[in-house]
Amino acid sequence: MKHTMIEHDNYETFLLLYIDNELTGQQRLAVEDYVAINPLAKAALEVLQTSILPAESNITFENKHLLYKKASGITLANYEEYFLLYTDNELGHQQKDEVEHFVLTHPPLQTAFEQLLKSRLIPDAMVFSHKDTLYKKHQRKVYPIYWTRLAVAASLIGVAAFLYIVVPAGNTSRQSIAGNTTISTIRPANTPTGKATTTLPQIKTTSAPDNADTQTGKKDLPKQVENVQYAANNQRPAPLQKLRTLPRLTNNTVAIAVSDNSGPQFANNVAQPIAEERLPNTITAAQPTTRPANITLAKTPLAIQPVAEATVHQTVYKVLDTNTGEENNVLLLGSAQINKHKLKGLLRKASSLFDRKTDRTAREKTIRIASFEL
Amino acid sequence: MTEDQYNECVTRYADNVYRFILKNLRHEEDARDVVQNAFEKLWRHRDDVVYEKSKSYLFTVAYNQMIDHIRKSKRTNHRDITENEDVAWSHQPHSKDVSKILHTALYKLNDLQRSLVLLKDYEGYNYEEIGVITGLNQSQVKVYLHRARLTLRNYLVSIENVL
Repeated sequence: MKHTMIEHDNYETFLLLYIDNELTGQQRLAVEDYVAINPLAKAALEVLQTSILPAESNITFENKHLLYKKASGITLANYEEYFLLYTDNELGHQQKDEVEHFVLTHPPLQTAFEQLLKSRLIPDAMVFSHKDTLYKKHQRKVYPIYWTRLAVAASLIGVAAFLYIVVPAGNTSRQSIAGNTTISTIRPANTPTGKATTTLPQIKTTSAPDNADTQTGKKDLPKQVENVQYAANNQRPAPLQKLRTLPRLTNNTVAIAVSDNSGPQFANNVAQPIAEERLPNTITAAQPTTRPANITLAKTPLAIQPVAEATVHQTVYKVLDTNTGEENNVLLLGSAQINKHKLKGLLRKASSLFDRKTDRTAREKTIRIASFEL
Repeated sequence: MTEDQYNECVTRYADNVYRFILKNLRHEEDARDVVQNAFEKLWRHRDDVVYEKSKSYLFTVAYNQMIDHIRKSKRTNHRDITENEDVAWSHQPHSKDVSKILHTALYKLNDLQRSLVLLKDYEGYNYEEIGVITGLNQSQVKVYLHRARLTLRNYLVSIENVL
């Protein structure tokens, strides 16, 4: 820049540097010589010089004393600051004592000190009346109860329980009477008229050695019938309840009508449902060839008059096989159709729960009627 | 901050914040809104705020909301200040109640100076804490506060001279 010549294309740059006092003495002379011989450059320099701001010296910093680093302690030069700090409670105990001592030693300043203390506001007692809207209350964890699911589950359990009670109750009524008895049937014998008659089965006790009579198919009515003790279970066969009139018998003999000439039959597995063909007016009994040793019979003789005739009228009940093949598998409960096989499977599982508590190995050769064994 | 600690903050500081805002805004409903917003913000950020710093946090939030409210009201200028406005600054020349005169003089200050005086005298904050709340440094707080006090003193002196 020192050796650069001022020309028409760079004289404005030199003018700006000239008014900013950024040029050396020799450069300033060169600019002044150029401006003297160029009117345009001179006019431009005058315009640039008017843009220079004047320095205002009347503006001063009032709180300059706050910037000074002064010696500690209150003095006449800084007492006002200490008074303000004392009013704002920004002084330590020692400094407060110094201020108080200074005020005491300078009575003319006491008024100013007291006036500053009066400018301290006294807090008002105000209460926010809507404080209760600000509190946050404990949020309890909400555990949802699925009422719909519970209702459905309860209804299913109720239906299953109802069916378990109703359906098996109809089947078990056709089962043998559970009790400490042996039931033997006497095969019906033909009367002289050729009419097939039925004889009453003979219920025998251990004390009554009537095996021979049973085997020979005694035609006469049994003369002694033990008091039949029904099982304590709830599976009292309903049709048995509806057996009407048992003929009046004597000598502890109870007549049970047998309409089926096929002879006594027992379901080997009592847990299996008995076919409806054997319902309800038949009581199938085992062939009482021998009495199981575990059966004890009570002896409660009853006064029963022998019946003269060997014929026994058919019971009122007669099972009509009106169910078709498909309908046999469906159980109607109101308007609901329930599959019997599925229901039986469900009930079978339920009964197996009870059977787990008993020892079944010892019962392989026994006949089980409900919860009783023969 | 737990929920119990938050509720403890409500119990301890709700009145203080309300008083501070009400003295500045001189409008109960606006002051209540500011207080509720401040506590609501504290609740939302309760995981980030330490219980020991909750008071300064509340005053900071409330002060900022108050400033925003003042700027907004200055633009709209629909609100009439009628509540909690102390009377008798010059209309009761015979009253020598210094506190009333002082409260009247308080509203001669600008918003910043008034806030500084209230934080200092009502809440007892030091310069540093006031600086945190108002966003000023400690020196600024000191200077502004000293100016406010001198203004209040001069007003008191002038009234007393008149009386």
